[in-house]
Amino acid sequence: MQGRFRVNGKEALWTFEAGATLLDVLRENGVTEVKEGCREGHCGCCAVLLEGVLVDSCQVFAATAMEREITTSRGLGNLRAPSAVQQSFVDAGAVQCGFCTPGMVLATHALLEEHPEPTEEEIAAGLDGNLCRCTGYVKIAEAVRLASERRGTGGSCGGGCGDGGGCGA
Amino acid sequence: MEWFFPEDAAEAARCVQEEGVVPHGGGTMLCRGDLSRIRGMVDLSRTGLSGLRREGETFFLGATTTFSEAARALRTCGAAPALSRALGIAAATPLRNRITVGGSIASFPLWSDLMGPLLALGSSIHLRGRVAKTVPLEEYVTTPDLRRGTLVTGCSFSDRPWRVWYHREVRVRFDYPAFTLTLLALVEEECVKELRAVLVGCRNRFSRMTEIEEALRGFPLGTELPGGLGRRFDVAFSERPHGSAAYLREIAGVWMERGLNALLGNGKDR
Repeated sequence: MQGRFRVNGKEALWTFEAGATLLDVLRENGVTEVKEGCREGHCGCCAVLLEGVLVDSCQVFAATAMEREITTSRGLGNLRAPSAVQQSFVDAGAVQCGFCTPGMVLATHALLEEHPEPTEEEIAAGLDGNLCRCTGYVKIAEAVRLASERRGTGGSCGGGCGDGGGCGA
Repeated sequence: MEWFFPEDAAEAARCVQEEGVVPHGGGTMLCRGDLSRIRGMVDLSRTGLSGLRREGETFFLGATTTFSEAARALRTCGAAPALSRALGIAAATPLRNRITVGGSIASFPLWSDLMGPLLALGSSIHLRGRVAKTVPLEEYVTTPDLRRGTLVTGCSFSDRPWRVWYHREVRVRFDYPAFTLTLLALVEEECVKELRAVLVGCRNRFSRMTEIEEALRGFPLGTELPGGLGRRFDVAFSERPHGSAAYLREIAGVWMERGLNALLGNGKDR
């Protein structure tokens, strides 16, 4: 079957099997920042935002995502203009092998949209669908708190420019 | 396989009456299953079957309401706290954002966090399609014929000022529960007027523990509970990744005693 998809604000017409998951269709069409992990909805590596809601793309049939807005980690920011969440993951050292990071970043983004100043319990619940086999979660939770602070002040650079995070970068 | 995208519940109900055509809510069960026998899937996302509605003392939860949406809506209006708590901690965030109430009722996985509270609340299930009627949830889950060619459009329940206790037996937080235990107690003049105890995840999928419910009717709150309550109900488990059948039966007894003590007793460990 054929369907129109909107990924990170861009439209695309893709052909896919009726039973294909959104994960497969995204990756087959070059959206490889969405990672293939367990394919069972356990690990969160394949997380995307579907109409702003965090879902595991391995648990979504592509057919049901047609004509809906899909956001991947690449849609939040890029190397030159990272989002506050992305920069906070770098600054907190919350990335080791990096395989879980796109999903972690999206889960953090979704969490902070709902809870701009999350409690420890809310951080644990917000990231409960994302597994990391490297970091032990301490630095990831630190990145979430840092991102929360930076989003509150409107900055993402973390003060590397000498403007204390207030430069808006 | 063909996809259908009906615009309302009536059209969806017509679609699911065709042989080999199944309804699709969040799809989390279907994604894991064998699709070779499925001829068609009916996407319910445009049918308007979502949301929580209140009519007097009765609450109606639409079939395509996700666990996250249901937990939030119930919490906001302070209704059915056992159900709201259970749905709010089920699975993990991205799955809670996808799993629907209707899909979970229709497929009733052993690890369901939805069914215990719904059964304890005495919920009814609203059906359309080959069978168009409202039936008690217990009847729906024990009558396979009701599921063939029918569409669950939602469930309804009356809320009362229940005291609630809910437990999911897991090895780690994001695990599927081996079983869940729901206790609801209605208290009047410091005595138990009505108790409902439901275990989900046993060999018969669920068990309403009437022995315990009857034993504690009229029980004065805050006093010491009778001993051996954990052995006073008849429930059997299968061997599971969480442990042997004997282990799970023992643990279920322990949690039953802890739950009753927290809910009705003097709170002291025995």
